[in-house]
Amino acid sequence: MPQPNGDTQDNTGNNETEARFQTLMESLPVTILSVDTEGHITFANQHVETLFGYTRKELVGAAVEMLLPERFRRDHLSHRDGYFEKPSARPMGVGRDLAGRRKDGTEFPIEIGLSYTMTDNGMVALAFVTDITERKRAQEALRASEERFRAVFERSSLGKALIAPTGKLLMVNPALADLLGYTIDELQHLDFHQMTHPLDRAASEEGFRHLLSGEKSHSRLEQRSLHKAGARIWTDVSLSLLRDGDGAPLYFIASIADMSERKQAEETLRQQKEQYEQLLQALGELGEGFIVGEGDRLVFANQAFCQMSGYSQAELYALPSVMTLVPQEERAALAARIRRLEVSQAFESRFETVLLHKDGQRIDLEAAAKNLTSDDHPQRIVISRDISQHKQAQAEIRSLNQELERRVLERTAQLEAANQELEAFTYSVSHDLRSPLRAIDGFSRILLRDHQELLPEEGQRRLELVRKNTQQMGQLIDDLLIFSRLNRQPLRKQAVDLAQIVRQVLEDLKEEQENRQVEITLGDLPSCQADPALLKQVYANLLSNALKFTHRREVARIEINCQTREGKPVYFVRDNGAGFDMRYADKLFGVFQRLHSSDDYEGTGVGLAIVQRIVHRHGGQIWAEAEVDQGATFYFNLGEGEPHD
Amino acid sequence: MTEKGVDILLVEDNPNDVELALDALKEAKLANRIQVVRDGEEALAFLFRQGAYANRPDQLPKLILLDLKLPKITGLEVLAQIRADEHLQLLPVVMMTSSREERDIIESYRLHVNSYIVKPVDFEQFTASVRQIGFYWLLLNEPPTT
Repeated sequence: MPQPNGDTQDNTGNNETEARFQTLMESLPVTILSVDTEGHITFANQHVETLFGYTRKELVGAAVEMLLPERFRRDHLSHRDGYFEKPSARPMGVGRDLAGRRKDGTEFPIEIGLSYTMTDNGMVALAFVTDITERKRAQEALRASEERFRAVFERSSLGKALIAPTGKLLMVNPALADLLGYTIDELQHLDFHQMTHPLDRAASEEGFRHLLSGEKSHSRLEQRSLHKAGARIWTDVSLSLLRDGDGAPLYFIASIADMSERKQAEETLRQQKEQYEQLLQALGELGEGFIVGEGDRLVFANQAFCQMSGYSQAELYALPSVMTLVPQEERAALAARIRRLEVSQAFESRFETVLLHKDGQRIDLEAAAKNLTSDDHPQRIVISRDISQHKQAQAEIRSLNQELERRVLERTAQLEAANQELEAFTYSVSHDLRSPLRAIDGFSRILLRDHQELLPEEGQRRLELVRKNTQQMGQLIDDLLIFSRLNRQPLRKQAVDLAQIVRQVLEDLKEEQENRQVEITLGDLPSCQADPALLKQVYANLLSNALKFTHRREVARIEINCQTREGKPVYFVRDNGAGFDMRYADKLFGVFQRLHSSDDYEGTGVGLAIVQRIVHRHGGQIWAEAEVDQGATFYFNLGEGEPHD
Repeated sequence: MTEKGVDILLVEDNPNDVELALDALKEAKLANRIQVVRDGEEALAFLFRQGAYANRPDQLPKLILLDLKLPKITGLEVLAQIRADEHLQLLPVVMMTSSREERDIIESYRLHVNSYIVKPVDFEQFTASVRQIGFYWLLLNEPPTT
């Protein structure tokens, strides 16, 4: 027993004890040295030598600090003193990294256990030194390994978690926290199953169970995970179970990947496919549609197409190619069309082809095709329409048109014949009606001339009347002939010098201007597009009228001019003659309509009708303004566009 | 007919017009030697000295007044035949007709009529026209020497 007094009672006995003690110390597989209160090494066993590289001789008596790296030495002094004041059996430097220093200067990590004993020379501290280099290395290796693991875990862009067998989240990485919208702290209080969408929980828990029971070594699930804010996120969860040496489950290792995008893409694709199919079905009203894939195999056909072709969907899908539905002779042309479509990738404008019904009947089709690009599996959507009826209708229309044309030709021929007849008739009229008139007039005259003495004055007057009437009738016939000819003559429009025409007409009417005062004002008449002969007729009639109705004026004033209304020329002939009552203006241009008695002014009443006919045929209009006894103005324009027939 | 031959050959089917024309010519004092035929056939027979006229004096008339509208052979045909014949070609022919139809006028000129007159209804005008024609062709105009 160590005695603090230090009094030795039995030297021999103590020496023996000491010797035995030293033998023990020597043989222990522990590095031991003893240090006195001064800090000198009093004893060191062989392992000390080995460990530190000093000989025993060098060690005994040396300061223990020799065995420590310089930086520890000063502190060690005070520690040493402290220990001797309150010696105990305990490890040294708990919580501190201790290091020893070899003779060659190298350092190595150590662990020291302390104890004390009494010797003849007083108390000595016993130090049990363990070289923990290996242990440190192992620790370091472990730490490094853990460090690596940690890096992988922490830095992974995939969500990662260590999950207890109960489901509690033991450890989570930032990626997972981000994904689910929690902080790492918050997450590590939660249960994995809490994070799983209720509808997916059953499947998820089953996955866990399979791993726990050993049925599976690996589990992979697609499940909706719940974001902190409540949103559902599609995740791809990979699970494996780590067991200890005895096979007891330690924890699950989970990799949780955000597959929202992938799911979205899948969904979109699925929706698109559904849409195509729905669209095609819906189009059943408008057209029969189908989708062909590689090799022109039918990938989808809508109800309407099935109905039209007489095949069921199953039968259609079983066909090697949609081309089998096309008659042999049409295939080449159709294939060429398709090839062009493949190259251009554009919408082919409608094309026509022929389909064979299951029962062999040919159906005329109009179709439009579009490439649906889908990377690996190019597909083409075709919408077609049965145009057999349409084609039939076309054929009917064609034949109707031909019939119509034939009838038109027939009718035209008839009209022409009628026209010719009319011309012949008019021709005879002009001869045959005039002849008797000539006779009446002629013989009346002869009668008056040669047998004057036989007739009283009254008789002579009456005979004169006979003559006058026949002449009038002659004039009427002439006018009527002109009028009828007008309707038949073609209108030959050309550039016409109006001024020149007017001058010609005035020249022709010179007789009517003789023995009178007539003032003619001829304005600036532009040239225009008209039939010269017909236009001359217009001015002839208008000017003849003007001269006629100004007959009683002292000075007859006639103006022939042109004004512009709405940018278009309006020609007019104005006189200061008898005028007319505007109340009857609409009768002016009627055939045989006269607003004056033939006693006052002669005339057949056809002249203005002729003028109006000509003006209308030119596409123009004619109207008049007048006041009784204040003169009249006749206006007209010529439709300088299309001639009217 | 006199030995001397005819001054005017009047080809006219309408008896009224014949009478009026003769009256007009008489008024104008040109009525001496006028031969009247009633249709185209007679006209040609006269001119070619055929049929009833085979023995007429060999002198050609100074003027032919030709109506357009004639029975059997039309005025235009007569004109054509006159102009086609070497012997008769140069005879002055005046078409006197009711027709103012342009195509008749053109056709007549194309067949080389000398003049084309439309017979007016008014007798006085008619007389005046006839007189003018008469004066012109018989007195004023220099006939072609045969």
